Amino acid sequence: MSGEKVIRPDGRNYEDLRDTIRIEAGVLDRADGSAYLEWGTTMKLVKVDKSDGKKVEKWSETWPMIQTVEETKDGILVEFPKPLWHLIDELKSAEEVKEYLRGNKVYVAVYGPREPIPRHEASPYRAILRYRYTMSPFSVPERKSPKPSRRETEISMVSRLALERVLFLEEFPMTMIDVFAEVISADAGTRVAALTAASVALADAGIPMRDIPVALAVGRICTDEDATNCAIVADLNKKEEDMPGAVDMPMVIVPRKEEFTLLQMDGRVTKEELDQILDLGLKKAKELNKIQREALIRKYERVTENE
Amino acid sequence: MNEKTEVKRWLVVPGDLITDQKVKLGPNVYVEGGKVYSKVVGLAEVKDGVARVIPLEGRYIPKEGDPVIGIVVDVKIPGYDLDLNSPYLGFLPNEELSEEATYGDVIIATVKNVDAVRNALLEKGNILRGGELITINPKKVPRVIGKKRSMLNLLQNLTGVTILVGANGRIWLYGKNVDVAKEAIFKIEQEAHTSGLTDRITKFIEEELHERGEGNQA
Amino acid sequence: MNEFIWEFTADRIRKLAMKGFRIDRRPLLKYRPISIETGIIYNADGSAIVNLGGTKVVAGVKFELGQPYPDTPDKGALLVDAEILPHSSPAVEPGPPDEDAIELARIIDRSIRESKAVDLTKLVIREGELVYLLFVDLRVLDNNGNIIDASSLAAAAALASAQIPKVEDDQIVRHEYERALELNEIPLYTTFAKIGKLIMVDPRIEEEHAMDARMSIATVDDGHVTAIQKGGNGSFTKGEIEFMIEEAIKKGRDLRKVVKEAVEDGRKN
Repeated sequence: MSGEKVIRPDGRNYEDLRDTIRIEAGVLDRADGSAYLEWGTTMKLVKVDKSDGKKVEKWSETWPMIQTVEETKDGILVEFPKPLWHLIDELKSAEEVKEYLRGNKVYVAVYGPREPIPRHEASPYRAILRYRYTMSPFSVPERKSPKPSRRETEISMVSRLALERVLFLEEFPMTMIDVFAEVISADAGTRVAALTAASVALADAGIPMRDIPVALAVGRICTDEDATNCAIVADLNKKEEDMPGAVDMPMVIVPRKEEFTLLQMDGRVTKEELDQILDLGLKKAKELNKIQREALIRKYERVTENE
Repeated sequence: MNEKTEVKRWLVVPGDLITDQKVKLGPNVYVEGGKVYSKVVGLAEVKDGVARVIPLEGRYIPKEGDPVIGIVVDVKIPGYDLDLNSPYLGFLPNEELSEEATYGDVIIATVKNVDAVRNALLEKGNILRGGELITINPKKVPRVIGKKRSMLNLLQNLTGVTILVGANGRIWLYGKNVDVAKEAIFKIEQEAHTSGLTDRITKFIEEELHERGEGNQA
Repeated sequence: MNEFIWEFTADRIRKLAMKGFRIDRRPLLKYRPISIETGIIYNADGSAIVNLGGTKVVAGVKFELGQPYPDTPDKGALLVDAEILPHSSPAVEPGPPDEDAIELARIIDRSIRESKAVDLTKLVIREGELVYLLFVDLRVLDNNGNIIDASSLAAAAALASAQIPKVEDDQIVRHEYERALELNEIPLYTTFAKIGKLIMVDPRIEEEHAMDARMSIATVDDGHVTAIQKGGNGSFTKGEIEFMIEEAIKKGRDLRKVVKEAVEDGRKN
């Protein structure tokens, strides 16, 4: 119905990235560079009496990410996403059980520059970049076979291309730089989560780069399949990807120059919508870049002034 | 008028602006639109008209004149291939070594020159025997050596351990208090970017020697 | 990765071993610090991440539905898979599991299966037709030595904190659980390295490159041994094997406490 406000399932504003984005640099001992990234929605599991059941049910209709997880004889267990935690105060019987992250968790390791394998594929002009994106079998709702999928192969290639020009590969002829990204938990936007972490891991490895590229997905959600009533939103989560008229555009942006080195789209949009999506991406890029920078700086807590 | 001015150094990451003044370009920076930016994570400095970044991470790339500690990974007819803890190999001709070496031997040598694809030709090799070999982040090596070898001398004097430092991050230690010297070096590696390190290391070594002297070496 | 790079340090380790010491001066039968966190993967039915002295392994448990094996129509199926990720060391090339990864998966599988830790007869929906398939997947993220014990701890903690999903109309209902997975046993490996004549527990990566032989022994709480795997090309005497078995039983009990604590903490957090 036109005019009905498009509501995000987790209660976020249209331009908000998911509530929890954390990056830690240098987490793996053996790798030359590494980063661990968490990107998702922090959920609170709350035990609620049947007396509050009707309230919770009504909220679930508006915000589908308020979910009943279990019904026991003395109550129900309900999941609340962080942007809607204020609602919990309105319940008389709420008892907090625990908190956990529903989102993406990625470990990225960088090795390099290192000796090229196979040797004959090395270039006398620059380092060869390899990017390998893989998902753990337990990362997704249905157990994924460990065999490399076509999707993983495509993502690996596109990701590699997004990073190549940002790195000063010409400084390391006859070598190879490897980026390995393992998604151990997935909830929409895994390829951009992996890339955001990969940029940090590359910087952590000391690979010279022009900037720290940022990756995110921006798109559109609607109330109807015909896409007559829609909103442009940043960082779609899994529930949003499945909404009517949903469009998802992963992108990689070099923040300082505001240039796109990766752009993909799934869906059908107008030129105006595309414009808005790109603009929102650029707007959020700086926010993400700040998180990346802080991860690297945090590794060195005290800064020297002299010596 | 000849006051030594303190040069400010600050922590930067790739893409951070160093300066928009006209300067000469030192290592690890690049220019775009008349501005100078950092290429790496490191300490930025603009000194004597030169903008540069001292990197805090990164693998070793052979440079002429560097002392390096390599490990023999291949024995060829004219000489030896040495692993230099680098993506690039070093080659030591037979005549640059006074004795015969074999696979796995540890050799200290100097980089004579570097070819077009960065492989290093080495000279003045010596086999190191006994002792212990550790590897640290090569970017922290200057800190282990210190200004005018001050830190290295401190380490050797306080612990009595002979320490040979390769620019490639490999360090060879020989002596009774190798464990203490090792720990001190790892501590320097962790805290290389901070100030007041010399005093903290002195204190650390003194405490460690005291503790280990009291207890036993087991 | 060239073995010769390890040779100098391996030599030093062997010399110290002759004097009865380890390179990091650790007591021979002491494990490095262990930390375990459970319940970390939203889509997994059980999960854990272990850090054993820098060696990091993540394990995920997932239940799916399928047909039982023809010769065991009254049992669910247990499937253990492991990958040693290229993250974990410069020597690992990306690609299908090599012999180390396959060995790892099989020995973890054996310890769970032979100890009857999971009662597979309780994982049947309709005998001969539909059963639960219990997947245990391991991913080694960082190798600082002893990935066997780290993987064993991760698999055990993931299983001990796992829940069985509800089934409706022969389909798994995601994120709705029927009951906790009950374990009869918590089998855990203790791995020993032999360097010269010296036997030590929980080898670090440098010790693994210097060792002559390795022995991994899985035990359960009542002192039974449920799996053994000898690695390396060196040998053990009968006396040494008996010694290691006794120690493995003791260590297994200590490690089991750590796993149980982690599972408890996971429930609260």
